[in-house]
Amino acid sequence: MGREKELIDVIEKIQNDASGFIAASLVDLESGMTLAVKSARADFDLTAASAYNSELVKQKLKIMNTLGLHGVIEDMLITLTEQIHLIKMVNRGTFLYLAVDRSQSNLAIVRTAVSKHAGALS
Amino acid sequence: MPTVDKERGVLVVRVVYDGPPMSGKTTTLRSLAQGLGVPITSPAEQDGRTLLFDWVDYVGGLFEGRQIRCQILSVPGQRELAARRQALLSSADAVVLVADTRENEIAKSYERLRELLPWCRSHDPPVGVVIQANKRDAPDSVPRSRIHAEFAKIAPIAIVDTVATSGDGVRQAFVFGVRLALDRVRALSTSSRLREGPMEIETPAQLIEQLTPLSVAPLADASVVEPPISGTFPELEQLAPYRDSLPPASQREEKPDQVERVFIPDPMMPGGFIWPPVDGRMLLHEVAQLDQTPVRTRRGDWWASGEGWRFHSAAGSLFGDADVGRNKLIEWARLHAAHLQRLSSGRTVILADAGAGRFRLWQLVRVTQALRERLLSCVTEADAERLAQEFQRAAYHLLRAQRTFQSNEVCLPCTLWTVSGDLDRQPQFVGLMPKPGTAPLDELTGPELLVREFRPLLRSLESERPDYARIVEALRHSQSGGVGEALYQLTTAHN
Repeated sequence: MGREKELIDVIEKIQNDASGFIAASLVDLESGMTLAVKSARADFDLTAASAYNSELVKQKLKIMNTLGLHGVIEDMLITLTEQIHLIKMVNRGTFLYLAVDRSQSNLAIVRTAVSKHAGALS
Repeated sequence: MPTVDKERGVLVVRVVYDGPPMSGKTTTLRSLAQGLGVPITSPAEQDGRTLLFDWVDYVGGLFEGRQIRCQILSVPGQRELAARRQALLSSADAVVLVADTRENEIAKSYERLRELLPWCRSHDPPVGVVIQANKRDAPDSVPRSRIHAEFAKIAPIAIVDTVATSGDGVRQAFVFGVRLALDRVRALSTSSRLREGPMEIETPAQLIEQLTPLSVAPLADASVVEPPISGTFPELEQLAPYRDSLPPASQREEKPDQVERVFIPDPMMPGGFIWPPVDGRMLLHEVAQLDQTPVRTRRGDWWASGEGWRFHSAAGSLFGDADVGRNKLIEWARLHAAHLQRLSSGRTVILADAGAGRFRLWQLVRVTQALRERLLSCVTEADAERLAQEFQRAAYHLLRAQRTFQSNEVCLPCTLWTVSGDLDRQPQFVGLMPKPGTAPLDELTGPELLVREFRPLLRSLESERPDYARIVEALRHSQSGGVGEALYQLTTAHN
């Protein structure tokens, strides 16, 4: 995994490609701590969002275990009325969390932008 | 000591930044605070030197549903303030050792780690340490490989390169420190020793009050006092099934035909899948820097070796279920704990995701010189008398090891490959740990063991050393009693 500045560079590339960018972070799954952050909105609590989304991923992994599903999580999409949130697993211990404004973007754009650059985060 | 503050719904952990004077502790905390978007408090400074501490309070991350509040502190580096440093370190749940990696300064950090590590490891559970290799942008900074090699001589430890002035790598080192602190929290939690209630120190002002009366003269002895070493291994408790673990999944069929995920050491893997919990993660961080990819042997085992490490997983160590794998990990951990005094240092057992819901148990062992390697180096370097003496010492060491390795639970194989080559210390087992439940070997003893281990070596010596007759003569006249006599008999027996 790259250094914080390199990680932020990658997040900025995603920001440029995904219109309606609100915020993004690279998150350590186990602790929910952020390794790199970038936000375009001061009122968006990216630290808290990253932490609670780590819990979301962990719960999903538990569900998969209960169901005996042997695959891995590639990404998780959450569509809100006004926002799209995407969680993209970078490796087993780290994920990218991205929030965009739904009125300025769509699922396809978000996924394409993230898939294009996420490899550089691992 | 980590504390659960139920009233506020937070877990409080303390990450302490230690290091020699002027290594960049305060700069690191300033940089970290800026990156985290929180203020830093530096109560007292004189000419750029910290007199008390730097304090950063950060709430981020989540542990078992509670927010993590990190009290991030730096210690004063000056020797005159050792009592304050000691007080701060004694409250740490993880330590980030900031090392100035410039040519003329790096030795101070090696020294600091030598002093710090025994103290951190004597805690129960141990306090994790991560090295922040700082000032990597300096023109005279020591090459990375040399830093790693030097620190590795002290202990296998996690090292993160940083440039504190620009913030490069600082957050990465911090998050790893938090991970180590959470490993400690988990160990305390599963053994019901996690403190609950309000924090003793909530603010910088309270900490100032605590530290100010402390002496500003150097401590009489080492600046960090070593507490008594615990005789128990409570880190085992942390491997007990998760409190919130799922009920065991129904019996699943393993799919041996499915391709396994290639093992990649991951220092950020979940807690509870590594033993020992804190040291194991530090070690894993170091191993992750290596370029080693395990390969499958004909027997079906997985194996990698090089750069001072061995990775091994037996063919049958693949489990179709995390719960089954964790139970096996506990068995392995108990076995290691029971033999800790007999084992070489630098070992970890981990349960790694093998893909398709399966998990594989691995043991990672740091390579330690074995008796055979020691003897082989002597064969090329030592004169006849010295070589004969080395053989006798080694034989004595091997017999001593054989007695030490005997146990009811597992019999550690006793060979020239598996016994440590340091003859001045108690013999240690340097090989791969046998599987728990392996039937004890019918290990040879006394002269029979010497015959098995030394005869091939003596044979090769006969063809390689023109002064072989002198070596035999030296063995014949040895004063070491039975061992020298037994070796001499070996040289005559095969002629």
